[in-house]
Amino acid sequence: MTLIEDVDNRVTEGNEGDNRFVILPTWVKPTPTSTPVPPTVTSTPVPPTPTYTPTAAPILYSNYGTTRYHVLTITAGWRQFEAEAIAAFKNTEWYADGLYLGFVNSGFSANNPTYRVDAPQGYHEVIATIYNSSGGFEEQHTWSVTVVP
Amino acid sequence: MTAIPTPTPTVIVTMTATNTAVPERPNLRPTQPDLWNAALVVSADRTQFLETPPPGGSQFVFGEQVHAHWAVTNDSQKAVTETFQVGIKVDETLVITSVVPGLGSGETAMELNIACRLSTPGSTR
Repeated sequence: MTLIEDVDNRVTEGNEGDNRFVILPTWVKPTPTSTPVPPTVTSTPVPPTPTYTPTAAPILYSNYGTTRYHVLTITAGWRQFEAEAIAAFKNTEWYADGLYLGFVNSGFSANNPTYRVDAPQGYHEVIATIYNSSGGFEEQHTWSVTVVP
Repeated sequence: MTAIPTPTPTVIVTMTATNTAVPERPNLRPTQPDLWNAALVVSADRTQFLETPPPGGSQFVFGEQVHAHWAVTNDSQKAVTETFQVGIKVDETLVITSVVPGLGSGETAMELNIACRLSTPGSTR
């Protein structure tokens, strides 16, 4: 399987020899499975009653200043998580579902750290861990999010 | 009588270098962004992140949907101003193409979650 940039050679490049990248995955035949037996329905499921209306707000803020934990139900789509009103020169590490995404520094202008994602359905946890310029832990912002259609 | 030394001629070679400006060309190449496993990643699942694919796999099942993720960078000082195409070949057959509307100097273009399905047995190349 080969990645090729500039497939039809429209761009005259300084080095035409570095246009390809090859990986070698293998494909296997699917394992035959037995015919599934449909489960017997023993009772009629009762649809859950929503306890609150899911939010469609595009930006989910958490105010800088102390460790905060938010439990939210949101609709699927693009969202931005943001530590609001952060101080200058703070480092923020972002995690989503346990995966480290990288860090940003708020700089002299104290730019709020943000993380944007096209939120898929299901349960997700987004964490922003904030450190001072010396690397000392300051606070953590957690969004515990259930994404619904 | 004292012999008068015959002066030896000294040849002075003057070299004049002519600088002929060679126009720099842009250069595109596959790239591995931070947190990516490679410039081309194939995974069974979609990624929920905008710029980071899943770790990727090495073995997949025929007929099941997989997702391709690629990244290309312009590592030159000159921007690519024209539209170009990035492609993915499987067994020398072009199966996926993506149009990139130019790429600035030092910039990286990427596309994630390209759904595809392989139906022919065999190792891919």
